[in-house]
Amino acid sequence: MEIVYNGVRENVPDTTAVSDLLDKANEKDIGLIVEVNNRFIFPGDYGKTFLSEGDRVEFINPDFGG
Amino acid sequence: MLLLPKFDYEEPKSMREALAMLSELKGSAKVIAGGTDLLVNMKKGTVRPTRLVSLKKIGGLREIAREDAGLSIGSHVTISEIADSALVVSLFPVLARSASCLGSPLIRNRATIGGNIVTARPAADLPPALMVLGAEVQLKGKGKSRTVPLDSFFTGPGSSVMKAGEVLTKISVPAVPSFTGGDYIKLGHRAALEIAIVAVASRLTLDRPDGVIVDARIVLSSVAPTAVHAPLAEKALTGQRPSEELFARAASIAATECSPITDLRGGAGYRCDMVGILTRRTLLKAFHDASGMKEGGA
Repeated sequence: MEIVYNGVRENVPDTTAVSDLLDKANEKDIGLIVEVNNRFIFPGDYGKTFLSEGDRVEFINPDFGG
Repeated sequence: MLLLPKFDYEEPKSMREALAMLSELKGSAKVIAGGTDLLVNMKKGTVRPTRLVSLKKIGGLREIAREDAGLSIGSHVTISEIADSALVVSLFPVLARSASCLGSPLIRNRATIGGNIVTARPAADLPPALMVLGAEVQLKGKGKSRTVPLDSFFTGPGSSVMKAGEVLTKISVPAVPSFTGGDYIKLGHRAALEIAIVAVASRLTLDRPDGVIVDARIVLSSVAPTAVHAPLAEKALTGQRPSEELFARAASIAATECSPITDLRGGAGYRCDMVGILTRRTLLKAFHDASGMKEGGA
């Protein structure tokens, strides 16, 4: 299926969860924010949030300031 | 829902009391300033202090004041206050520019200059500008105080030379010579709220408006474990007459002086290319400002 991942169209397997994308991206930022179709995904839900055709996924590395 | 864990909260009324408290509590306490980073990390469980020590009742930490011909900035001055300060804008526009790039208006209203430094994030916005300005930080511990140039403050992602029990109290920014200009450019996917893919701060000082470069400083951010100078590019500029060709050559050298990682936001090769482009652009702006200026003001 095709999703839009950080603004870029990308083909992923049909049973892809947010956690699969995180593994693929090898993302290490502990502050990472994940949105699917403009909805915040809680870190505890990454493994059970499965993607659908056309979903828009955003990985945001936030600038929290300090 | 992400909730804060339980913790105790202290508001000492003097620096002496605060330092004694931090010394006694050792590693179990953390200083809270803006809290924009700390509270998020506590919610996520990546840091677990049992006590937070706020310094907001201690005077002097929220002041921007003249110090010699430069500025003294208290560690609890917010990013918004720096971006909007007439003193900062007139004396150190490169610092005001970097402050205006940080986070979002809501974050800038809470986050502090001290917090942006001590978190030691490789992509933090203020350190590159402060480094080209030659800033120093004052660290106070129980019974002792020391001053550290920001160039030697950071030791890695999230780590610095600060010791347990020490507090960053003040940032000193020395005056810049006449005919000095600077610039900071942050490249990111989004216009706000996201850390830089690459950021560059540059500063040039000329001996006279149409003269040669007597001092060049370039600091690269988000392309190494800490913000780093590009010493070979700086050397290539010093003593030379400014020109677009010279800046292009220095930018090419700077692109070889970083060690970025490849991640979701950009590949290492892309980041090196962007270092070159941003370096050239910041040098052009720095030169423009330096040559058009009678007094210093990087």
